[in-house]
Amino acid sequence: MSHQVHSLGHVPISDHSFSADRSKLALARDISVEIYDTGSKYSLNTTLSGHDKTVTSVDIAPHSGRIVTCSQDRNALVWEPAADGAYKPTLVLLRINRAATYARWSPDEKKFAVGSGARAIAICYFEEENDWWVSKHIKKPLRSTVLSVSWHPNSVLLSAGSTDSHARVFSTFIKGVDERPEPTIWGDRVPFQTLCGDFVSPAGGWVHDAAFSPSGNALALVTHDSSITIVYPSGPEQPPAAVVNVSTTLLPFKTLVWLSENEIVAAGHDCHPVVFTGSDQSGWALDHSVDDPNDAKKNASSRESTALNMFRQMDLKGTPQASADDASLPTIHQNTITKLRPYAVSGGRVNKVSSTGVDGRVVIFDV
Amino acid sequence: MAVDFRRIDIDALDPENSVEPEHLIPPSIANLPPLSVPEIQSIGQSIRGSLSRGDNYGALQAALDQPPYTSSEEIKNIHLATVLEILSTIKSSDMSRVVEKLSSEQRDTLIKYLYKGMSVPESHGISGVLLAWFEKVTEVAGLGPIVRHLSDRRTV
Repeated sequence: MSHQVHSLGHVPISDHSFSADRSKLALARDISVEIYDTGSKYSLNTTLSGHDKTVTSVDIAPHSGRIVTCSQDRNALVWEPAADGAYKPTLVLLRINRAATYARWSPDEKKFAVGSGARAIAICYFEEENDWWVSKHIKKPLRSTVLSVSWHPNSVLLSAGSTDSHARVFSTFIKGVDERPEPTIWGDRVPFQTLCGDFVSPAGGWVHDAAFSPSGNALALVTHDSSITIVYPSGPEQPPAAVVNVSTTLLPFKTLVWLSENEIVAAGHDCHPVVFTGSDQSGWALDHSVDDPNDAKKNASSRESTALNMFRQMDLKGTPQASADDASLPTIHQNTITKLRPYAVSGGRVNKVSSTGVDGRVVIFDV
Repeated sequence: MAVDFRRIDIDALDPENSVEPEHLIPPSIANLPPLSVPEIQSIGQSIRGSLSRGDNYGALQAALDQPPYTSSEEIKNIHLATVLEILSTIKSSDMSRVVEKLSSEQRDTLIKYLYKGMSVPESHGISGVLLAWFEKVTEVAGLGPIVRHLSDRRTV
């Protein structure tokens, strides 16, 4: 197990996105988006500046290469890549009066969704006749800020996690843009803004992230009560077939990624990823920690216990303890992990995830 | 400018803002009926009964399994007194063993009662006991129960 670590300054990273071939990395930090060329060492290629407040989210569409960014300045921008490697920004009319918090392309890349503090989700699509990105709002029954959105593989259903402690599943079907989707377990006929599911965690708390399983037939949510909830719906208008809640002894998770139908990795305020395994039949449980701080602590104590090391420390610092280590965490990330994303897939299972954190590090974990 | 505009609650002026207290009740307890004073007293009595028979663990379990989430503050305080009585009865040497036997939900509820207990003047005599309990619970269950106490709207 070797995890790739890239320290890219000390400014917190709110979101990141790799291009489809993993040759470019976009980081949302402060008021701009930085594009890095990847390789053994990441090097800054371009800085996209167009926002005038904190950029909250960035997403690169895998096929078209377009980048969508959104910011606390209430705007979203679509950056079109040009042949010479430059990017041309287009403003999107979001029509919201609070910060935009989260933006994601739909899997078919015809639409993107922007969550916001204005108790609304803007579903944006390109209108050919006006040559302009326009948006439609999903408002009801959102009662507070939307913290995350995530798409169903059919590009019509969207899950949204909110600070009103609900995770909801909406239809974003737009006539003329989408083809009528196949019926799913979430609903057969789904006009725009249909609420297809509404879930909470038993102990409540903000829903930091919610995501569909690879098949789209289950939804997982991480909430501020340090728990993860996995919901298996049974059909439209029916109570769910199974709702599994795993409450942990850790600090709350901010983000999650499904590795396969039976594995989820989540990370957050405890600065290291954790893997959960299970199914609707057997229930779910915490399986193991990736980059476990307890292992690191054990190694650290065995290192300190060697006599040579002790005398070296006494010589250098005047104390037998390695005081330089005291300030740093035993994990790779030195602060909250803000975002996990799938990085590599092998045999239908995600085996590498990329993470970014408040510490300004980008890490690619083997999971 | 005489008016401090930063202190104006702009959400109160928004006609679409519609968060009512009933929206904040978690669905899991929406159908839980509030208890009356005689009901909570009889629950307290049966718990004290098992306490006097020496079944400390059973008494604690019974008290933590049915907290009066939807009842009035008065009822909640009666149940708090029952829980505090159990906690001060159990010997400090038994604490770890009892905490290890509790389920994860029971530990979460216990942390809620410890916080509530430390916030009322009646517990000043036993705050040392409450801190000892707090230490034992976090040793076993980590920081999760504290985070859940902060996020949970099912208050005790």
